[in-house]
Amino acid sequence: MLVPARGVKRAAESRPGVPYGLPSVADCRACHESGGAQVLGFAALQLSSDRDPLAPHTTIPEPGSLDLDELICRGLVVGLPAAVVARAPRVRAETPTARAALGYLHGNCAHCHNAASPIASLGLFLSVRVDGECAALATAVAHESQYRPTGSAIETRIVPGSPEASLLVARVATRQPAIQMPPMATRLVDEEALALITRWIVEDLARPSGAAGAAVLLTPARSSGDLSQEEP
Amino acid sequence: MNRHRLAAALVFAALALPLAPHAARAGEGGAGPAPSDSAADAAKIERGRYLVTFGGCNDCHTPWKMGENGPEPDMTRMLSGHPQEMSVPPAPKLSDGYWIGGVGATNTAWSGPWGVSFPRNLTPDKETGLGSWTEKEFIATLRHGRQRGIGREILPPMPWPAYGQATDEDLAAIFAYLRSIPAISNRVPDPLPPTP
Ligand code: HEC
Repeated sequence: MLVPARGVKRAAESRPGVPYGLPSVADCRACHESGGAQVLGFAALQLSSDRDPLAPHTTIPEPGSLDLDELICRGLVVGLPAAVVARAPRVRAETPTARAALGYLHGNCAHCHNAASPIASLGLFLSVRVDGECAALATAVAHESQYRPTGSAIETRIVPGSPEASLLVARVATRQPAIQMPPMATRLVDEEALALITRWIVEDLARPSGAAGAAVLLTPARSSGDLSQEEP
Repeated sequence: MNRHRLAAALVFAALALPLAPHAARAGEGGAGPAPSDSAADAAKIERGRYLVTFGGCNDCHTPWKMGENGPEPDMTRMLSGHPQEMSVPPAPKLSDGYWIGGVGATNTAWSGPWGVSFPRNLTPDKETGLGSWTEKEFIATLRHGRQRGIGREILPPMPWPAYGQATDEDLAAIFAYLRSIPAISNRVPDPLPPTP
């Protein structure tokens, strides 16, 4: 059966009482075409064989699974910068929690929140770059939010040490349609990720070296660039 | 193209590392078209004014008041949306029959199966209106029925499925006109979810 262009709001249930919708064509394109690569997750960091043990919902890939090393080994990728070939890409942060939190934001939010996206005018970039500049820290931490939820005093994207004053947390933690993030194709809060982001804001960002210290780096030798699905 | 070549092409696209820094597009947001007196701009704004008038945007986006001849849009608050200072009592409960919704006296609060929606501030105010939007985002909103094209859904009765049929040129003209009207600071409330 072909789904109509405007999608089907309640096509099935993902679990009892939770409707599973089939997105409209425009919604498919909103997520899949707002970054550089249309296949979400098929990018350097997510394919890296240097797995992050703290990544929410992480799984141990079976030997021989398709990852970046395997692709390079089979000769399926050409023209990569030598540094990326030499060493599996990794979010380098001051702590394992920061690594996982920034990796999560990169993998789950940066396909819309990146500098080449149709909503780049918001100036919120959650992608991880290889040149050491950390987009999430520079554009979310202590940055005023454009959106203000009605009846709430929250006006900052991320307040170090204070998840309850951080709009990013409030939006990830709700599935009220006007407020929730991501704004489409999800009906359930990702509790594991929410706990991780909360811990990062409380434990990592509030430390004295906090927001500045958690810079994301690969190796200093690596060339400038972005690990997300962005095009030149 | 065989499978391997396709995979290689995909990976290559995914891994392409841009040389241009993030900041390359920073100038694109916010400020809107630079002021210009050119005749072409004036014609575009005039076309936009015509379309906004003809399209009935004031019917919903300008709060109505009681005038000498009955209810009429309060043009001192032109296109600034539901007044932020006005608290709205709970929407009337309707039995599930023919009547499924209601509208407030200002024409700026609409209840229905979607909850209660409030027509928004279309003036160029930066914090509370469309002042920070780009033309592209505006066009994408009317085409796809989501804020800035990819954000939350735009609820009824906003007739985006109708307006979204207009040409890019006409939608850009509407945007240009909306940029030219007086900015009014008015933070329209979020829609209310349906009551179970
Ligand atoms: C029948 C009532 C109605 C008419 C007529 C109408 N709108 Fe709307 N509009 C709404 C409502 C209600 C909303 C808010 C919906 C929501 O919050 O989800 C809205 C939202 C919008 C938005 C989204 C703004 C934002 O900040 O999210 C834009 C843009 C918009 N309208 C433009 C227009 C234009 C341009 C016209 C005329 C060509 C128009 N509208 C005519 C009711 C209307």
